[in-house]
Amino acid sequence: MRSDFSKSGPEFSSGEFPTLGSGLRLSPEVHAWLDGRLPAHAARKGDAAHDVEFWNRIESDIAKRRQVRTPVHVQRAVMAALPGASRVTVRPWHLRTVTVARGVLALGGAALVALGLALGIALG
Amino acid sequence: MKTTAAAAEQTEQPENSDQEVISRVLAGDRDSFGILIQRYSDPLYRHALGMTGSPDVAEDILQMSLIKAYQHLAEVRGRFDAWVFRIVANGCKDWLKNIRRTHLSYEEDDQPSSYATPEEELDRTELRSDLDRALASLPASLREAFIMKHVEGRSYEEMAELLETTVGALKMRVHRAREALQVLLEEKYA
Repeated sequence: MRSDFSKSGPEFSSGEFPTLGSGLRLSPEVHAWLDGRLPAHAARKGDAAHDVEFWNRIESDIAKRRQVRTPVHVQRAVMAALPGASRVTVRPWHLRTVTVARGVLALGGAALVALGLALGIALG
Repeated sequence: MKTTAAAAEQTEQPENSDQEVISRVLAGDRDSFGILIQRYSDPLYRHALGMTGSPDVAEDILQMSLIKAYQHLAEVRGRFDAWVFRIVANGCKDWLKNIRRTHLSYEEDDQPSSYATPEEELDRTELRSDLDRALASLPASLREAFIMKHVEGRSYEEMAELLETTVGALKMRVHRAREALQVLLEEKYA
């Protein structure tokens, strides 16, 4: 069953939509064919032949959309953006490696010598 | 619900089932997440592209969704593909809401061209452009149902599971989407 529409047809732009309920109604057979449950010849009855031809035409573009693949750089971008390792191991303080600069080492040595001299004077 | 290719892959290599891969990722094998990306990105990208109409936006949504999936991987209950699909679908809906809120209208001509080659540009036939615009004019729920049925090739039962609604409701959405698209396009393409 098809409602009448003006020959000019509705314009469409983002957000606009023909009022539901006042539009075209496809036959159950056409819907069943589009769902893959009926062969095309079973859907072509009366006016429905026009609908079948229309959807055959649209199908040519929809078939191409089914073949679209994810752009190749997407996976690379995702992997590069993932957060770091999910598990962090914390070493006990007494097992950690300590790095000391030479200057710090020299100062520490000098401080120990000075301390020793001071103790010697105090005890002497 | 898994794509044929993804299901076949898991049958042939049970040690690479989704659950096995997820367990490895959670144990620290970050690179294994790439297996899941390769397995499911195509249908997810097609969904995002169908919903937004923009390759750039679809890529952004897919990337953000996959990163979010990685961050919340320990929360997966049930099937990974259904779970990550919902993340992508929600990302698309959020983008659409934002478009409406900021009164931006999706006009194809306003979108920067994201096609890699001139051949891809030429491949955008007039039908492709008109169908894009017609889809963009549908309410999001009808557009989503149409894309899932016709572009993604899902059964109504799969769709009902993913969208957490009934088969009957989805059939109505798909039927209405078809009828609305035909109203919009048949004068030129009938």
